[in-house]
Amino acid sequence: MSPVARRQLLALLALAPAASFGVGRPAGAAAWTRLFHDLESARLIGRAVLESHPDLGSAETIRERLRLRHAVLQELLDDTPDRPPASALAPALAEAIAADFAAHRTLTVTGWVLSRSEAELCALVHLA
Amino acid sequence: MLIDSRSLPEATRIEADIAIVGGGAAGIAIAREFIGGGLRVALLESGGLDYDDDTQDLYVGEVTGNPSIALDASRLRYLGGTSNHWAGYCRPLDEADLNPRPWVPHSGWPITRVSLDPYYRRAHPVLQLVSDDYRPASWTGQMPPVFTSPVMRDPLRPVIFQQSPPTRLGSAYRAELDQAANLAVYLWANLTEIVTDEGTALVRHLAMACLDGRRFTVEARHVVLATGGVENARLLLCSNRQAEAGLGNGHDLVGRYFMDHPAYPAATILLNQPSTIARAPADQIIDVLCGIDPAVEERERLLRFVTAVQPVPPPEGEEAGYVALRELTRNLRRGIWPNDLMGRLGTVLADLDGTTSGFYNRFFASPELLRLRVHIEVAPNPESRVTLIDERDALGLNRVRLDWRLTELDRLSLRRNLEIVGAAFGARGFGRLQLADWLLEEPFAIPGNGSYHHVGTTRMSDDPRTGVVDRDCRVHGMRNLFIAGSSVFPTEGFANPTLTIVALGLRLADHLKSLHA
Repeated sequence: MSPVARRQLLALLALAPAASFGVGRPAGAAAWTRLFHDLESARLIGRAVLESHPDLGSAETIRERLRLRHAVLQELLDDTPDRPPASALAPALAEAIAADFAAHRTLTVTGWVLSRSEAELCALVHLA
Repeated sequence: MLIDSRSLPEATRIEADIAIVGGGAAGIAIAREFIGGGLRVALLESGGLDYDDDTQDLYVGEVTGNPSIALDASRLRYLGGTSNHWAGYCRPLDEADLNPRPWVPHSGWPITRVSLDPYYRRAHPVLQLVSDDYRPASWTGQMPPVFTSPVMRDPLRPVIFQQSPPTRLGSAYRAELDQAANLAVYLWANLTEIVTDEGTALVRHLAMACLDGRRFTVEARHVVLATGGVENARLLLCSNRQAEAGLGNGHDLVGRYFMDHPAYPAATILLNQPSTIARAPADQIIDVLCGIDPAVEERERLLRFVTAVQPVPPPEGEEAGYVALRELTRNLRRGIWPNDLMGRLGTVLADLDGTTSGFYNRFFASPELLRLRVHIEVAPNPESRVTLIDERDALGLNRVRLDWRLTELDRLSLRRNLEIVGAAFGARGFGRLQLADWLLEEPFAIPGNGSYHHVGTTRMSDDPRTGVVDRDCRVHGMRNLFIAGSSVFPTEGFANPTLTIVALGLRLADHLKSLHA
């Protein structure tokens, strides 16, 4: 089981600063990948998520589940490059994460209690 | 008056209206209630006024099952009993603790929480508590900021504990006990057998012995066993001359349902950014922990739970010097002169490094991690028990084996409660929770040594098939034998037991007075 380092979680928690969005992302990358301040950390967390919860399914399954669960993520998950603006993404995800935690939709990954949506987004990064 | 039993003539026969076995928190609280009254009370204490190796050795026993501190280390056997090393945390049980809970087997007290109110009120001054107010709203200025932040809204909530100095009842009330005309405190007096009539309905006398071989007897109209959660069961089981299984044990309940409070660091919160939100105010005199709304516990079918939320590194733990300094200043702030001032000052001076680092962490550090140190209820479990073993102590009594066994409900509740805490911190955008590694084992054992809270071995129930004592703490089937202490608790809640031990002791004293009226 790949442990999730505290440093990686800190990087995940830092997915807010709008100024850092998209830094180092290839042009045309899917919108949701630009959420992560540190894409490598998200990928490592995603690997741990899938190792801990192999039943999460394929990327498409995960994407569909996210869409159904959170309408606010709809645009985010559309693989339309550079739309919507990066600065608009963080509040939608923060809303989804808060809603997950409030509804106790959590996944425990190597001891970390993560919101299901953030864990699944990390899994998507790993699968991308 | 205080009497050295070793100076009594051999085979002395002592008569009293009430004999109380055990000079700890329960025994002293009960005895004080009779001072100045018309009843003659004998308080029988195994030890003297200070620690003694040979007397302490009478506590030696085996421990199996979940890790628990050695039985001769968790308790103290001299006047004041285990109050000589308790930490002073006080909180009444909640209504939810006494109610029957369908998801907790063997739960439910035969008395209501509201019926304990007057006794809790009276218990507070006994333990030198300056307030009996446990409403979080009364103490917001005393809380670290995290406890007044949005994260503590539904389902989390602050849970207030009052802090006793802590009162060492033996030294705090020694002069009062010594001066009481109708009360005799027999030191170095060990109960070796509760001798009954043939039908085991009536205690005829108590067979007593000193470690020097002297023997004497005590005859009393009513007898109270107040020797702690392990010894109460042990003495009933050892008194097996008339009843082979021991007194009060017609339904094989004595010694069963043992509980303690697992207490251990169980998770950390990784904050979004370094913060001082868990830093306690410098003038704090209460303790505040994080609990969960009882309605949520009911909906999720969980046991009771609280956790400390502390900066990492915490301002306590290894830093004994800082802990001693904090307790000193807290007491002085309350206007209480610590009764072991020199000992605490010595700890501060002997651990200057810990004192300094604890002080720095408390007032200057901005950690990115918070530590959750849980203090949890476990479910009553008949397989968790105290039994006699063949080995005997210096007085010829069988020693005991403590086999503390946790249940699946204990494990599920702990983990789920922590997930609920983690979800609350996540939902309010404070950070993420990580469970301790040992919680990821399947099944996991809870590390640590318990909290020295020995509960449940002579549980209270109106039905003799499900309890050793009735609602008046009288042993079922016996007319004049009563039990005081946490051994009568059917469930333990998360609160430290001493306040409830004293409250139930005062209640029992009132009942005994009514019997003599």
